[in-house]
Amino acid sequence: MLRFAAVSATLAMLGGPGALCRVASARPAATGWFAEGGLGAVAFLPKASSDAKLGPALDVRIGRDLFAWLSVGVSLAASSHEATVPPPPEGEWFQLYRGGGDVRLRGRFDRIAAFVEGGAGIALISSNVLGRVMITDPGEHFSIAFAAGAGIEYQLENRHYTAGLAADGFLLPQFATLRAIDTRLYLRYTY
Amino acid sequence: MRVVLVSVSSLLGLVGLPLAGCANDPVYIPAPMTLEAGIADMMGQPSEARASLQLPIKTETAADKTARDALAAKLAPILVPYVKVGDLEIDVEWTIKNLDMKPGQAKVELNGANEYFSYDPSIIMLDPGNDEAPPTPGLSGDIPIDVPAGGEVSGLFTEDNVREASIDLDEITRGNFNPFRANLTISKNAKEFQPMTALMPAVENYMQEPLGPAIPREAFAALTRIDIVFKPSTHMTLQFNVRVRDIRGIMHDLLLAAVTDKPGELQTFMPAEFNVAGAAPP
Repeated sequence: MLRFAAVSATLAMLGGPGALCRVASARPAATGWFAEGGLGAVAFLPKASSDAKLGPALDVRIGRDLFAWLSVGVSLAASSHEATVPPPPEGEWFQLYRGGGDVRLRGRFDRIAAFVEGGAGIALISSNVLGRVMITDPGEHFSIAFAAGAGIEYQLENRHYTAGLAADGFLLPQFATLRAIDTRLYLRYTY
Repeated sequence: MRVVLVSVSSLLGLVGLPLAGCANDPVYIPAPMTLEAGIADMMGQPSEARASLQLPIKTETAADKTARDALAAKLAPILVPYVKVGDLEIDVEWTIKNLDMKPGQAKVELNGANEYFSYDPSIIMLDPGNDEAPPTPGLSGDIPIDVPAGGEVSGLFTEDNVREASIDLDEITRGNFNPFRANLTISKNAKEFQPMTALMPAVENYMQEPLGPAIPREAFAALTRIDIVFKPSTHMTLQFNVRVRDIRGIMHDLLLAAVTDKPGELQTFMPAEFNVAGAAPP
């Protein structure tokens, strides 16, 4: 009995009734180094949309949260598309690879977070099939890439895992200013 | 730690994708022009159209030349070409448009040239003096295709077709095979062929004999020029596109633009026109 009284008195001195009633954050989120992998689709915007179909995409990103609201990262993405240029050729596919750095600003509302991001890098196209419609020039395979987008995240119960949905628009100036939207579902692990 | 390893592996895999893909990524070379034919000539026969596309192949490097010379020394007296079967995987995609208001038929014939010989079956007489003799076959195609009125039909000569055509051309020219024999036998997986004495169609009961050593596959010459002959029955157009997987990395990066921009970096081939009367194995 004496021991219980002593413990109660100590707790009361440390925090008082407020401390005893405070609820721990329901979904604490880890911050620091993170790795992210996503699956989605890339769709070209006019006028390239008539020359290539929507295609599956794979994204990976690694980065670091500098603060809870700011992170930097590098990303690599690959997507595959069927060319729909005037025949011939017909039924031919090409791949688009993108890599670069980005900055992400995040706002958290308990288990939900929203972010905006932007970055720049390079893009590589695997073939010259879009040369038929003058999107690529002879011998041209690389372009600078600019990207910007936004997304929402859901913090899982485990503080290291986050699932999210994001959409980025990107612009490839060397490929006849080709524009496209990359939409993806992803899972992030923060160490 | 496992997550770190998975992440790093995924990242390396993705980085490697473009590098791995480059070796086999196709390039597309458009035809120099749209072929238009099927218009009745003075005799009332529908006209034909033809086009040639020389593949933009880079000049041979010193290392390649050394390797080729070493192989040629080993296989002597057989000549080893710069562009061999397997260096390039080619297919030819085509689209026919019928401009007429009635259905018609069209034939698309594939011919071409390797670095030694070009092949034009229209000038080869295998049975001189016989007006009813079938025409000398092309290397591939020449099959009637129905094209609806105002319609469009697409098709292609596959990589297998073009590889077969390359080997048939080498068999016909360096091997002195009868074009019908070459055309009607499947040689795309042949490991070698035996050159024969020259064809002599004008000599009755003449039998060809084997001549010299067999030419092994590693010395098979590949097509370096694609020739298309378009034979429609009514007014039609044909567009074609050559798709090349550059296995050995010998195509010029600029493709056809190199002809005007960097002509000095393109290999020049001067194939002899093949004919049964005049050709002999080099």
